[in-house]
Amino acid sequence: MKKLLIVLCFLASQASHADPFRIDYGITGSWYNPELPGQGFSFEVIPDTHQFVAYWFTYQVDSDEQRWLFAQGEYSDDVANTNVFEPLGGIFLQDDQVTSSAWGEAVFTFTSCTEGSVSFESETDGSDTFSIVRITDNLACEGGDQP
Amino acid sequence: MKKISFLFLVLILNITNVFAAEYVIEILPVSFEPEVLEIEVGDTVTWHHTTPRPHSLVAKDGSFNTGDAQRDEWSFSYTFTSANPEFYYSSPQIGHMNGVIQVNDSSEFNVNYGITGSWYETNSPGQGLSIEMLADSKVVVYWFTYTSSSDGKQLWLLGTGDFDNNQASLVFVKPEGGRFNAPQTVESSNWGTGTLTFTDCSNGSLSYASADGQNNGTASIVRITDDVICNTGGLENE
Repeated sequence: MKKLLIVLCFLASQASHADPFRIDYGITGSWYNPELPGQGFSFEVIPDTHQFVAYWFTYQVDSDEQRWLFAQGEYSDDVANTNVFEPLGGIFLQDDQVTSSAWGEAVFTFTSCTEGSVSFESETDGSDTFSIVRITDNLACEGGDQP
Repeated sequence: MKKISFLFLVLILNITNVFAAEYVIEILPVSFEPEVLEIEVGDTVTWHHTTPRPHSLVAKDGSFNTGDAQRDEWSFSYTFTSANPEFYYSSPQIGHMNGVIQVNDSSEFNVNYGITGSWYETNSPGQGLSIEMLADSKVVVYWFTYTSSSDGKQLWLLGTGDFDNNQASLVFVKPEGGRFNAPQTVESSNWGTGTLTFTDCSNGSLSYASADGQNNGTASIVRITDDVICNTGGLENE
């Protein structure tokens, strides 16, 4: 019985240490997959509305031309669930009709102020999960304490 | 900045900028052209006289007085060194021949970390800037836009620079050669330069000049997303 209590206490203490990281304003910034230099993300976290915005700077699947995607959704604790769009049809700084077609979904999960992962699923471009790290120095992230 | 390798090259920027502009006001027989002018502190205005009708110039606040009225070809220049929302001057030889200059000092605003976020030009929705303020007054700008052709192709540029008060000189590069979610060598070519200026936490401008001369101009930009900490002064340790 004493052993069981010790085990339970141990499990309870482990559980209390397993609280998820909480996304805060400081997650805002530049992130990338270290295995894929030259492409990445710019995140923006808006705490009041729990909005999470991501700009995904990358390239085409079958050519080396540039491509950027826009993701938006809400976050809770350590996870941001977003819908991803591909805006097309614009002209450089002109008021042309841009069409943002749905591209898929992306889930951004963070384990610390400098580490996380991305899971995406797209009808056109498949699915994948990969790790990301912060590129730029962390100036504002405190892991959920601020603001 | 330790992982700057993503940015592909270290950009050492010379932030010595000469932003002062020069303006000309024509002194016509009974009016100034233009009668209303908006400038920045540090700008120089030259009044240019060509007509046979004699004039002189007098600033209402006493800043200058060109003396006796003169006819034909002459000019007078004055550099504005302080802000003034309504700087009045006149030619006393002609009643009601007045002009006004609005002298702005946009450098009064000091940027802080809270500038970080999404910005765009209201005239061109569906494209914009994602700006990240860094330590030591540095800034990185992701410019997500399209090419100048009508094929609707996407274009994204990476800009880096240093802020001096409310203004940053930027160098833009265009990374190319990658593949979506696949490792492939990316190379960045020089795209051009820019100047990013903010007048407050939600308004600014981006002046840009592409190296190939195809794209030059100034875009007024506003913040898209809600301000989180800019209006409260940025980070506590700034």
